[in-house]
Amino acid sequence: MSELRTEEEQLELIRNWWKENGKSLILGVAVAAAAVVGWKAWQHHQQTYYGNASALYQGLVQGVAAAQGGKASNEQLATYEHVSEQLKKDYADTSYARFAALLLGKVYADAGQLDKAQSQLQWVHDQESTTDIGELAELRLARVLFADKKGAEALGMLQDHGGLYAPERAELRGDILSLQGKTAEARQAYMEAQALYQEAGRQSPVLAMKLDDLAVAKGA
Amino acid sequence: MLQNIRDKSTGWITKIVIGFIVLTFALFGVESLISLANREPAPATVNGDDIKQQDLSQMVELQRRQIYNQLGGNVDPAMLEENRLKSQALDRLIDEKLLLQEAAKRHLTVPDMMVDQMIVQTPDFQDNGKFSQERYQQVLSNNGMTPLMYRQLLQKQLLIGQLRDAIVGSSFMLPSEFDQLMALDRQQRDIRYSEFKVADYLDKATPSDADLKSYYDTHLKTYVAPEQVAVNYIELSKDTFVDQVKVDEAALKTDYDAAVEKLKAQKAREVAHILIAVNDKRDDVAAKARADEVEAKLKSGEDFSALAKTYSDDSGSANDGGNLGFLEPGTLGDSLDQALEALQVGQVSEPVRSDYGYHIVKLVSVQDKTPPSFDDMKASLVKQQKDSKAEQLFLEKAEQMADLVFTSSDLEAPAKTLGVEVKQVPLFSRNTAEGVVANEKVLAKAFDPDFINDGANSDPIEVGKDHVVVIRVTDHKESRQLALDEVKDRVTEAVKRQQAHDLAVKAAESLKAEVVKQPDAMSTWQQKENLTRNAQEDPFLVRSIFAMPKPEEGKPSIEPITLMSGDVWLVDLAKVHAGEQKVSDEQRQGLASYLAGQEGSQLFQAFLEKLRTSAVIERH
Repeated sequence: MSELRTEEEQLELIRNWWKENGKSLILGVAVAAAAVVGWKAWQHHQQTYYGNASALYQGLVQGVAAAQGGKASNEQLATYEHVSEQLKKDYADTSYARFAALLLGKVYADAGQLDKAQSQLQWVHDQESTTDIGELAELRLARVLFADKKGAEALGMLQDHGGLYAPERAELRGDILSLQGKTAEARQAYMEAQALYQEAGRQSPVLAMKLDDLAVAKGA
Repeated sequence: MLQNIRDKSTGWITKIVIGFIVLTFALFGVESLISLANREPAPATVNGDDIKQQDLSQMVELQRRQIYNQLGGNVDPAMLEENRLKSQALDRLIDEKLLLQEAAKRHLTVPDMMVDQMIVQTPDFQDNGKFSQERYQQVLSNNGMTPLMYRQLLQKQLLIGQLRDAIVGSSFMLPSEFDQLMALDRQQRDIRYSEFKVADYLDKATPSDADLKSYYDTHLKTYVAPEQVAVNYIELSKDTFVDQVKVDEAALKTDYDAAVEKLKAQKAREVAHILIAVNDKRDDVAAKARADEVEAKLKSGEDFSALAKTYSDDSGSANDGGNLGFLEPGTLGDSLDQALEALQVGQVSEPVRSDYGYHIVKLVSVQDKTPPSFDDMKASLVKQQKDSKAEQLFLEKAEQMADLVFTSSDLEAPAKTLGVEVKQVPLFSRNTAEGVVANEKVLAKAFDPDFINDGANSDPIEVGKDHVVVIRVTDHKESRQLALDEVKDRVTEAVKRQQAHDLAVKAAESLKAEVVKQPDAMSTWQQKENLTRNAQEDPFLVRSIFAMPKPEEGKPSIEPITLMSGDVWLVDLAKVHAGEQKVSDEQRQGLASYLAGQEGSQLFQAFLEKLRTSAVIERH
């Protein structure tokens, strides 16, 4: 590329190049700029969307925490319900809607409104059945069902399907069977729970006590 | 090259590449490229995410502070050991990172507004119940943080808090569950029992040599002689020098004069004052003017106490004629002390400025202390002088000792020079050490394998205040397995107890068989009623009783139980009944919410543990 050109020739070359490529270059830059702006805007939108849900949830948590140590009044329940409904309606796909429903499950359970607690927990489980949070909702749902004298229904949910809270599920199965007077099966479930806890490197503080309470004579 | 690019720059690939570069810069800034090229090795990586060295150092510092705050002065130095702190801090950061990653996966977001709110509501940043920017910055800088760092910290905490709240904050305990738990926990059991004491069967236990051998073989670890050392040592202590130093009578006199002078300077003065405070409502000039006004009134003969009552802003003393009582110099600060120094009893000063405002002080009286006579003070002066001389001597000798023991190949020569004797401690183990060698530092040195190998003098070891020792190991015995012959007595004793216990169990079993066949066969049962889970009984006994099957009609529950002492009880579980359940509503609520919280925490721990095990964590 040592051939010498006059300035004019060079200018001419550039001009030609521009004629040929200018449009696509401008287009390229414009597309890139648009992409950046769009990405930023989308990010901002996401940020606002989740941020709003977060603020609603945080308010709910603080409200419930402050009212702790007493059954919630009907007025309080209505407020909680309202916030939770808003989250379910406008932010249904966020974790915050689910967290709020879990919290409401607690509030209703504490207030003795077991049917409402069930529907909150059921909703969480419907949204995400295979995650740890979904499993948590399932476990609590079974507990509420059991307390609501729907032991059979609860047992149906508690069949072994592995997962993070499998030991707790087995233990709860033992509780239900024990109350139903099926001592041998209850023992079986408790022992299963014991093995599962051990496998997970955890322990239940009261499981040993429950198991001892159903002791059978040695060699029997 | 450039030509090449120019030639090919028309191609669409190039355009994409250029577009990509533009995009990268626009989105992530120049840092993204720089940080790729230049970075410190991260102490750990969690799922491909680095933990920063800087964060680790910060966390180590934080933990160090927390340990100090919790334990104050009695910190075990092992707890502050750098590597240990580092590994704990790294554990915490890894957990934090895992939870933050989970939060991100769930799109948890903490808007700035929430962080602001949190900051404004923090009591530490408030002044009179209101947020104070000044205070905020001060607290942060005291903790070595910038506002940005603090915001990030808060944001992380809030994110993790939301995740935690979802699991822990939503936990509950239903009344039926609570009742079930209470019934279990407060259950009571009644028993009848018959005792079989090991001591009663010892005579019947006659172990053979084969028994001893087999017991010995299965309990080898019990029969190990611990490592032992014997040491010689020399010591220096200030106390031994106290009797050696001579008292200088002339110096005593000087000391006495100095002490008297000091006492005089310390004479207490009874002081009264009128304070005209400088505060939000009154600036310096206004305060001064007001103070001058009071001074003028005093000069015109008005009563000091009356003026104190009207004018003084020191509410503690105003009603008491401004009287502050007897004060020693130094209590009131320099400016007031100087003013008082110039006053005679009964005189009043001009307005004097202090940190609080303007004071007009009055010297009410001076407590005259007659200094003690020389004879009275002599004993304590002598002690003081001896002490300080002994200390000096001790320090000189200790320094000399350090040089001597370093250059000598034994302890005898340094001992001779220092005029002390070499003391000998026969073989001892870590557990049997007594006296000076029981000191932890000495013990660590005496059993240090390198030190034992070298066979040299130790450095002076400080075993107390003004007390040092130098040790030298003279004999060393490794820990070793003891032969059966050496421990025959101990083994025999153990085997006899075991056999006696077996006989006791056998006797209990045969009684059990009899009782099961014929429930009335035993008429001499002893009884215990209403045993609870935390009954003050042998713990083995209680645990076993609560693990016995419940008796049923025609199916008694009888078992031999071995106590901690080795004695055996044949226990007949007569009755299982509900215990007292007197729980007030308030207690019930408190207990239930506590238990619910416990349950929630456990589920959260399990959740975190799963994150840990399913993550790819590399520690570097």
